[in-house]
Amino acid sequence: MIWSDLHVERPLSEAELRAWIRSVFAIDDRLVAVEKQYDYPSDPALLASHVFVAWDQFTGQYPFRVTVAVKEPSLEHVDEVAAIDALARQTGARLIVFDDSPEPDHVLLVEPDGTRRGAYVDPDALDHDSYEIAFYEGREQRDGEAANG
Amino acid sequence: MARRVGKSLSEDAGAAIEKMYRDAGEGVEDVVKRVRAVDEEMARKLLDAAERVGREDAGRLSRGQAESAADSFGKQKLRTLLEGGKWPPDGAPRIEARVPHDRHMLNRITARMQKKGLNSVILPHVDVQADVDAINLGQAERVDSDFKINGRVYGIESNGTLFPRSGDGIVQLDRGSYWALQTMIAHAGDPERTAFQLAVQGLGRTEQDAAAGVFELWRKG
Repeated sequence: MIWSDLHVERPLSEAELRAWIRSVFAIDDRLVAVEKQYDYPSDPALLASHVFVAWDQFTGQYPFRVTVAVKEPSLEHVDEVAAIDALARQTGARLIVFDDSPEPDHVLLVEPDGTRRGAYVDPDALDHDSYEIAFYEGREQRDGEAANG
Repeated sequence: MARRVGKSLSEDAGAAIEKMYRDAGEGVEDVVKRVRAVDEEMARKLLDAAERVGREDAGRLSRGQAESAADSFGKQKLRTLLEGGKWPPDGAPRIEARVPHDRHMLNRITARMQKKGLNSVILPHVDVQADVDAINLGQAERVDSDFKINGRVYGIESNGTLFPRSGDGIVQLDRGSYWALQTMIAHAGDPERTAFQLAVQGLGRTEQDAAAGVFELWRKG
């Protein structure tokens, strides 16, 4: 099972990511693999991991991307939403999650206290793989509601 | 004597007036020539600009598609504007539509692109620029907020960037399958490496099978 990509407002250390995964899945640290996307070392230990975390660095307000793959079926019951809230709380960092709505620029912003609210990222920045909040849902008029005249 | 002087003055005045009109006429002709030259220069610059606009997204398109953009859409738009026509035309988006993000274009996908729950991918044989141009010319069918053209449906972002939803030449991959496709592309030509990375990512047979067919199309270009 692959979770939604998360974009965090600051880079997280491997120790922070491991601590998060351990707390969420209650598994031994040896069953967690954390690697920078995309060229993983040929370490057989990676194959034995139950949870694989890939991270990557981009630009913008939310430059740090985290991808979580839950490889062990017995761990698939873990609630993704609660786990994401836990990451924001534990690291004190805001993050955004693409909510897979039909609108490609719509995201959920998760605050460190677990509060969630809808937001829109700047589509021009998005075109360049940069993640910037353009405005919050219901707070401001969208510039290009206009695109569709 | 006075009559001769008067006649001479009259002749001089006549010549002066005639010269004045001749000069003025030549001046007007010069002005007309200069205006025409400026118009031609302006039109040439506008055409160049239109061609550049047409090639703005060339990075995402094949050379042929980009040239087609310059030749067809840019000039059609310019012609409409120069003839005082309505722009954007009826049925077209108010903000000019642009080609979809590279993450939707099979021949432009890279390993670092965003994976979503459902990822629509346009196969290489699709003339995306022709779809974009048709949408901007108001030729697409409006389906709610989407545009249907040449058997494909596109949504549009607030900045005009299109995204494919469904239709001929568009495949849908779930998150895992898209990640598998990215991995296959990233390590194309190294099946051992690909297999290892897919296993590390926990991507199983289902995701790999879904990605493999699309990857073959990528390989064929």
